[in-house]
Amino acid sequence: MRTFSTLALGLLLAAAPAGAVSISFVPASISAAVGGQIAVDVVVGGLGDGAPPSLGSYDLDLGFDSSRLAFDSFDFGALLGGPAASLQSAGAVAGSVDVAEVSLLLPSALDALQGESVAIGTARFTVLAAGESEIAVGQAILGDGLGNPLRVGSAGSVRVNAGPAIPEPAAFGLFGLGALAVARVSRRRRS
Amino acid sequence: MTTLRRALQLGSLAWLLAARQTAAVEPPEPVALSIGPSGIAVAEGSIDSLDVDRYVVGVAAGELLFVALFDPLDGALLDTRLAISLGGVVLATNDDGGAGFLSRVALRAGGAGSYEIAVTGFRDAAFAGVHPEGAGGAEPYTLVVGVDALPLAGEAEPNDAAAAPNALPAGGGIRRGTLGPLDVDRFSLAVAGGASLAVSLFPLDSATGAPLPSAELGDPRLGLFAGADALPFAENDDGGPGLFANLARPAPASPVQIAVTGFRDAGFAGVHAEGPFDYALLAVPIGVPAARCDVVPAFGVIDTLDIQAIFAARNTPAAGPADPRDADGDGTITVLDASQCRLQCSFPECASAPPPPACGLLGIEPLAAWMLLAAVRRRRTRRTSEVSR
Repeated sequence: MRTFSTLALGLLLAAAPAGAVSISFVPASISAAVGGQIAVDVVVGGLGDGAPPSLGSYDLDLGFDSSRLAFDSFDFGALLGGPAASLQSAGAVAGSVDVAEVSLLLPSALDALQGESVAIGTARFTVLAAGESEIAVGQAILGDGLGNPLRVGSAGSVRVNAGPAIPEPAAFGLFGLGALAVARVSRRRRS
Repeated sequence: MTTLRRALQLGSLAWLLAARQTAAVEPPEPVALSIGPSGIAVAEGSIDSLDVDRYVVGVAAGELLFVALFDPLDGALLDTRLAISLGGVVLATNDDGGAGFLSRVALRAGGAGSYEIAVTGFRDAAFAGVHPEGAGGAEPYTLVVGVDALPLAGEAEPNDAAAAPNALPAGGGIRRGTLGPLDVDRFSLAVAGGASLAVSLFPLDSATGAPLPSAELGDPRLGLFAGADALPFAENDDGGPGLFANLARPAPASPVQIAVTGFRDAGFAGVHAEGPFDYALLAVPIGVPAARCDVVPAFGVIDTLDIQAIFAARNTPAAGPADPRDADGDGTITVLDASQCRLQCSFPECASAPPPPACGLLGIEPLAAWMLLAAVRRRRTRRTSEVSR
């Protein structure tokens, strides 16, 4: 019995890395037309859900294909205190977006503010060219409310499917012609 | 009863007035400055509304006295006024002679004595404490005072090349230089890991070597370089009196090379036609922080300015094991260091000064005093009407 219990505990511990958080994107896959804008939320999960560990700081590099996507902006969330209670920075250089934030809130305030997962913000890109590309996490430094490092157990990515742009003027023209044809036919029928 | 009532009224009013003033933690004044072997003394202070800071320094007859104010944001935090007095007589004042709206002034001492240096807000021409500077909270400054006898130690030419600067003593120093056309004067100063340095240029009379009241004879450019780097990590053109220059920056490496050239010479290669004119260079390390996370002057207080400086330097190597930005000591500045330092802030919400003192222990003592007085008055009125019946 003791041997079985020990074995079961060992298996349980091996299955789930202790204290690890995850980084994911919502949605995990997105389709858009060339010239359109896409928005993806960056989410950190595996937190304490009203208890330590909460997320107190992060510094992420998000890599993307700069021939297919152009970084527009990063809208920071409010779960680290927002602009009034945190230091924030977002900038892109050659196919990589660096987003960083340090909360000025005390650890107890962060624990009360955050659940099991935190949407740290929304990254917005403009689609430049058709084809498939990926947005993925590069360097990732995450810290809890005390400034201790949080181990990243898994980091997701976003698959972007970009299709050709819809030629709007031609589409409207076709639509207009079709509407005219329908109108003529209905007049003839009346007369 | 009348005496008691008056005492309560005066005490309450005094209490209210005192409670409305922001409490700044300052040493007893005037603060005596001790001039070190470098000839320079450095003091950290702060100004809030209704505050005048006073310092004294001993100067011998004929010596030169240089006084300069710095803040972490090149004069963006405070608009100051400076005065030098001897025996109650004001000898020199200055408003905007330093970086931004900070002040700087220099003179040659006519007589020996304890010279008083007063720092106040710019509207306070009488140095009585009547000004609004720091009304939202005490703002920090660094006061640099240099005292040296004539003739000042001079530069040793040629010192134009980055490979051959004139080395200043470890604690800083004051040097006389002459800048002529096509000339670049270079000096080097060792700065301890994590410390900053302050550099000022003062115009000198070529004939006497004394400070000039006006600074329009020359237009220098000042640059700070990390070692023999080709590009400066900081430079200044007109941050000092008139067209002179003034800089205070954290040192990214040691030694720091200080270059003085003409204002058009952005490359510090001697491409200019300024001069010849004489100047005094005053350079000193400032703010060797005593503790981790204490990165930006005023030292001794860890506040949002320190956290911002650490955050801005993330993902860069620490400048040695004593780098105060590297809170976890792993050799790299990261967001984790900024986060750990946030917990070391000296005051709530990482403010730069303590919160204003509460009005009394519970905050209601003056109100209670007035209510007591009103109750006493009512009782007297009731007694008077009972007697009259």
